[in-house]
Amino acid sequence: MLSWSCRRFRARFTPGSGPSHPHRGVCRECDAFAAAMETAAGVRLPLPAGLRKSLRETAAPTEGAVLPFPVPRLAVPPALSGRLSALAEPALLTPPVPPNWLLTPRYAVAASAVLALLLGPFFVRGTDRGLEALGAVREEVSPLLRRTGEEGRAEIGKLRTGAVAAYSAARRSVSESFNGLSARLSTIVPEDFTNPDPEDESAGSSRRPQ
Amino acid sequence: MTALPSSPDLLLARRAANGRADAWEELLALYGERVYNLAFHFAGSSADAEDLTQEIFLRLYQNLRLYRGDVPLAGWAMRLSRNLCIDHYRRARRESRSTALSEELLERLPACDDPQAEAQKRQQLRAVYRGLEEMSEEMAEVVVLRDLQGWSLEEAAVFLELPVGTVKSRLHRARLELAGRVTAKLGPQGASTLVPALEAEPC
Repeated sequence: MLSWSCRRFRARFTPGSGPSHPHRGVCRECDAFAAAMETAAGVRLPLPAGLRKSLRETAAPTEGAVLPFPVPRLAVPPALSGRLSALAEPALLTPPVPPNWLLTPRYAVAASAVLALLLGPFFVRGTDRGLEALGAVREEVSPLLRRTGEEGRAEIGKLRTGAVAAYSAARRSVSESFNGLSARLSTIVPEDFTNPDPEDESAGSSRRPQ
Repeated sequence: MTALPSSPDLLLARRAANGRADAWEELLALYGERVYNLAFHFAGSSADAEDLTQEIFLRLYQNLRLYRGDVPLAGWAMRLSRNLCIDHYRRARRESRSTALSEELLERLPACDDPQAEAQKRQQLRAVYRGLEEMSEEMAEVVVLRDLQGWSLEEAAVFLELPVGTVKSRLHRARLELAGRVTAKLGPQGASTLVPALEAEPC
């Protein structure tokens, strides 16, 4: 079991704190540990000269470098080179300028007036022709419409007459049938069978069993 | 931690960002070796450490204008490349490079006339590196930063993106764990022979 003083020494010991700690004179194991740590910490590798030179060059950019630190230089692939040079072509760099008449409103107003003058007669004549065509259509179509209406009305009259005749015949036939049935019924049923007063029990109950 | 316009780090960063060669040189002098040594710990080999250091300084240069001076510059510079450092560190640990005792490190041990003392120092170094290898990544990282590389708690906190209090408590646990591992590796013999070796300083 580690003593409290050994534990305290070991946990706090760092190389460079010196061999003067009183615990080192007392405990051989702790002293051995401290000596081993001092030996290990005492080993220092110097910075290699080649590496020092490279590190210096890190902060010394070459002439004409874009970035302030060295970067690997790669050749531009031919395909990319072609595409990059195409970017600088004048046709692509300067877009085509639209004509003056498109940019100035004065030209636009004048062009509108000219167009109105040129196309106006065509529009007027077109209206007249439209009206003429409409009249012609009306002349052609209205007799047809009139004749169709008259014929329709005649047909409707005929249909109504037929329907009325059929209805009258049917009504007459039904009426006759009812009259026939009534006559036959009166011959079958005797006269005293009927009971004009349903309240009078004795009147119509002659055929009831006693 | 509020931004101080007159903070030396901020002034240095602004001067360097404005293209002042002397400011960049000063920055390299201040942090070059520290960053390289830490990069060596992360990468585990000098070739990878050089690449990593170069990448860290390149990112630092690219982002110098964003530095506000509210945190230590070294920690901020390392944080810019934190993911890169972690990648290197994990790869190196997988390959046991970062914690394996490199010949380059052994060569950098202070020269000693006494072969026995030199052997002891190698043994100590091995014990520390093996102890680190056995520890979890986050525990090893905090000990490396603070105790082996000498980074301040604030710098380590900025780099690890943790509050200083968390770094302190993690460091406390990590040191105890490493101490246990190191003393176990050195053993009673190692411990007993070390004291005379220490008494025989300077070495």
